[in-house]
This record gives sequence, structure tokens and C-alpha cells, in this order.
Amino acid sequence: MLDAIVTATGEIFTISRMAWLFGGVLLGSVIGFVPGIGGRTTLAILLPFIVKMDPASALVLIVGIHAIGNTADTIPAILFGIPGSTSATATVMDGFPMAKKGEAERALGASFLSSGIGGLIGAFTVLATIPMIRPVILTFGNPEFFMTAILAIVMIALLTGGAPVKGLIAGCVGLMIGMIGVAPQTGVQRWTFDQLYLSDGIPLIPIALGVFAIPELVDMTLGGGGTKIAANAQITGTSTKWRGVKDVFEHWWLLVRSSFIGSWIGILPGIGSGSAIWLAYGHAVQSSKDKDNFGKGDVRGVIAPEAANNASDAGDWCLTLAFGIPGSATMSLVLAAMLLLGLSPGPKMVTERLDLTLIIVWSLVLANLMATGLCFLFTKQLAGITKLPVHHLFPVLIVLIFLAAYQSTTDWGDLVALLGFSAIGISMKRFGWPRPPLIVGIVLQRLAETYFFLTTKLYGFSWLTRPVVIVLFVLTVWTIVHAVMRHSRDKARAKA
Amino acid sequence: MSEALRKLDPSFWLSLFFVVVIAVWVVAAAGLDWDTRLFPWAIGLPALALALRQLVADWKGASHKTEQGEERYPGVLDIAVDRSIPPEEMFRHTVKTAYWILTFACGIWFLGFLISIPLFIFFYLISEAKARKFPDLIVAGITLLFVWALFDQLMHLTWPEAALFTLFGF
Repeated sequence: MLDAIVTATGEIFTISRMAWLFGGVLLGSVIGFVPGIGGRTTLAILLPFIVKMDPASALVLIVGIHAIGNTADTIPAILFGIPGSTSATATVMDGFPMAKKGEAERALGASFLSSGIGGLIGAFTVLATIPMIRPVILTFGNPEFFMTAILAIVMIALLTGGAPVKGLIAGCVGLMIGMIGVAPQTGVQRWTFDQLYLSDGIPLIPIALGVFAIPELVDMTLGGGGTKIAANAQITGTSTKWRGVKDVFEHWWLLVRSSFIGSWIGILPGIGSGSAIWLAYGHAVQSSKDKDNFGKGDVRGVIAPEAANNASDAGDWCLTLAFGIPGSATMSLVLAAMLLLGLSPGPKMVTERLDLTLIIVWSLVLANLMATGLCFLFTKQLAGITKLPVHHLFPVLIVLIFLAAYQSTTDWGDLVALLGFSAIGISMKRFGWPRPPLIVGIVLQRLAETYFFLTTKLYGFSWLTRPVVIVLFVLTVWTIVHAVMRHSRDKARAKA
Repeated sequence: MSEALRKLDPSFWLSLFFVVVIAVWVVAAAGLDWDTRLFPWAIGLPALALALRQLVADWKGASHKTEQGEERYPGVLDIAVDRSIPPEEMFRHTVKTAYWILTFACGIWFLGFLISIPLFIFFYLISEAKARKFPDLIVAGITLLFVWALFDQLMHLTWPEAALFTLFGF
């Protein structure tokens, strides 16, 4: 192990490797800023060129592109309420209201730093867990994965406080939307109504953009011609990026907890950052004494999901390297790139090719530092966008949203889905229906159904007696009881 | 009856929509084999019960608390809506914005992405932002150039066929 660490350290700190890493970060930041594009597309574009490089440099470049993606996708989420990717949806919740209050710079500062530190904690967690990762993951069988998915959905659905029933319905509807298409176990078409587009299911990007981005854009333009995003805001000294940095250190314990949530979720196959961010956000809300500010621009609502997002990335890498199981669509491309480079992801990567694995871990650490630094440099300029009249931004943002939705499968169905889900998103926002559970339901559907099927087929009812399942079940029940009690208490208080 | 419908919480209509959607899915799943319908029913049946409960609550006006100054939907975890704007104005604005978005969608269908993008930006800026024509043209041009470079040249995105060109056999 020590030899591998020395070799990896020597390999990474060379001018050429650092240049590749910085090049990846720079390229990822330019393209990754565009909503819906992100690291996956950049990686797909570069794949033909990457295969001609030496494996270590290629991996360094890939890490660079990938690492900045989770940091840069926050920018449109905070500035316009448009999630740059599904892993930025939770940041919209408080990041965009902060921008509207004139605190875009503070939100960006907090988000970049928590992304960076989250990524570092994630990378070091991966480094520490490499020797024991196999037994840890093996304690999680099908029933445990199923219960994790259920806990995540219930937790987010019931965080709605004033409307737990609406939250649960939204979560269930999300699960049902996710079921559209071919059933994973039997191959039977479900709710496709003979539409070819629906046989693969509705892609997540048009749904996320419709449910989150369009409603925010519609509300953004409410004030007429000269309105700005930060329309009525008093920009003061407390709104700067350094205030955001201070916020991160003030809430360091939340940052650490969220990073661990992200790392752990990243290691679990198939769950990914789309769920990690909501679990971290949910944890931030639940563990706070003063919950009233969430959704109105609470910096903790930015710190928690951003830390979890980048930390889950490291876990995702670990899973791909050690098991050869891609935890997300982007990781499938990484896996493809590794195979094209002649590397075989799997147990050998943590034994025979440990040096390469450690180069990746080093790259993750350095790429997160570079990405944070690069984003920090332009925070002021980025925040300045919120002072432009919204009517000048609106048509350009609409164009980007349509393009981001369309590039999902390049089918007309993507645009129809975008418009349909925009109508649903606007209605949900206006009529007090929480939108996060809908997205979490869709994200977790395939995982929940697959593990539900395997659990019932393989274990019958005996899975209910497994220790981890019992713990997760108790947590789920506790979440429900806690939410119901809080709802009743709030109602009684309102009556009084 | 019409008076009663008028007084209904708007949330009722969304609840009704969800009830119908879930009910259609649950009924449609009945025709599937056991393994395929197991999960849809495990989720759909409790969801239908909850949606019906919510529908009844909305009908009775349980979530309809709109006395002056009181928040209509308290405690919902989502981005807060500015309730100071009258609902009628909000509705009017939403319809107007939806009109622009749908016009752009129709433009894509009829003219394709690369033609409708500059047209949409130009006409929106002229009529809504009340901006001057020359800067509008520049913004429209720069956006088109960016889209062309990234999506067409770099990503080789397959653009949808425009109805106008298909009609004339181009």
C-alpha cells in the first residue's frame, strides 16, 4: 500500500499530469455550466481522443472533467433556479431564493467551498475504506437496498411538514412515472400506450427541468420589464462570497455529516448523487431547530446537498473501480473509457493496479481543489448576472432548457415531456404540493422495484428479520411517526 | 353547484388530476401478469387511497385557509411562492408566459431549432423586454452561434425535421 502511495504521488505531481488535470477541469467548467449537458456529455465528446492517451493521463483528464461537473452545475441552479443536472435539484431549493434576496455571491461561495470540502472528504473516505470496502458493501443485500430506497422516499416525502399526505402522494406518483416503459424483470411494456418514445421510460432531464426550472422562470418574470432576479435586494457586506465561506465553517458539522451521507450513498450501487443530495438536504432540515427558513434561502440548504453531491462522486468512483459496477450514467462512460484503455475495473484495481486507483484518488482531491478555486475566481462576475433584467435572460434560458431537454434522447417526446411536466410543476408549486418527492420517486424507482422483486422472490418474508433491514425499517417508521406528530402539533398550535 | 366549484381550493383540481392518473395506471396494470403488476399495485393502491383522502380534504376545504394574511399552504418544503401577488394576476402572467413558451415550441416544430431560436429571442426581447432592435439582434445572433457551435458542431446533435421543410420536400 505504502509503495503504491509513493508511486501514485510521484506520478500525479508532474507537469504533464497537472496540465491534463487542469485542462479537464477547465473544459468541464466551460461545457458543464450549460444546463443538462454536464460532465457526461463532455466525456462522451472526448472519448475517441482519450483512448489514444496513456492510461494514467487519460484517467486524470476524466477525473478533471467529471469533478468540476458537480461544482459547476450549481451555478445555473443558484442564479436562475435551473438545475444544471439532477444532482443540483436540491440546491435550487435554497440557492435560488438566496439569489433573489441578493445573496447569490454568498450562496455560490458556500456552495463552491462545500462542494470542494465534500469532494475531499469523499476522496479520503474512499481512500480509507478501500481495504474494507468489499465486506462493507456485501453486508448490503437486496432487502437492504430496497429498504434504503423506501427510507429515502419516505424521508423526503414527509419532510413536507405542513402537507405529509401530499408529499407521500408526490413520492408515489414519482415512483409510478418511473415505472413507465419496459418492466426490468419481465420485459413487458407498462403504460406506454403504444408509444415508442415511452418504451424506454421518460428521461429524467426533461422532467427535472419541467418540474423545477420552468416554474421558477415563470415566477421570475412576474415583475414586468425591468425586474431583476435580485429585484428588491439590499446588497450588503453580508452577501459576499466570504460570508458564504464563513457560513461553511459555521456549519462545519453539517458539512461533515452531509459528506459522509454522500460518500455512503455513492458507494451503494445504483442510488447515486440524485438521491444523496435529497437525503443530505432532508437531514439538514430534520436536524435543524429552526426549519422555517428552508425553501426561503437558508444557506444550510445549499451546504448540505453540495457537500453530499461531490462526496457521493468519490463513492461512485470507488464502486466503479473496485467492483466494476457503474453507479451512474456518467460512470458507465468512465467504465467504457477504462475498458478502451485496456484496464479492467474490478478487484484487481485495488490490488494489482492500486497505483492507478490512488492516482484517481489524488486526482479527485486536486480536481476538487482546482474546481473550487476556479469557480471562486468568477463568483462576483457570476453573481452579477442576478442584476441583469430578467426579461433579457428569459428567452436565452428558455432556449437552453429546450435544448437540454431535447438532447436527452433527441426525440419530440422530450419536448412534449418538458411542456407537460412544466404544467405539473407550476401547478404543484402554486397549490402547495411539494415537488422534491416527485423527483426522488422517479430517481429511485428502478432501484426500488428491482430490489423489491429480488427480495420477494429470493427471501419470501424472511428478509424482514435481517438486522440492517430492521434498523432501516425502524428509521422509516420513526420518520413517519415523527412527521405525523409534528403535523398534529402544528395543527393544534394553529388552532390555539 | 357552479358556485361551490368556484369556491373550491385550486389544489382540488390537482388532487383530482393525480387521482385520475393513479387510477388509470392501477386499472391498466390489472391486465399485466403478476410479476409485472406487483410493484405498480404495491405503490399504486396506497397512493390511490392517499390521493382520494387528499381529494376529499380539498373538497371539504381542509387546506383552504385563505383568510387575510394567512399563508395558504403553510409548511410545504419547496421554494416559497410570493403570495402577495393576487392570484388573478399570477394566473394572467402564467398564461402569457406559457403562450411564449408554446409559441417557441410551435416554432421548433414548424421551422426547426436553428431558425426559431433567433426569431424567438428577437421577438421576445422586442415585445417583453422593450429593448432596442440592434442589441436584440446581437443577443439572438450570439445565442445562435453558441448553440450551433456546441450542439451542432461539437455534439453533432440530430435536429428534428422542421414541418415547413418536410412540407416542401427539402
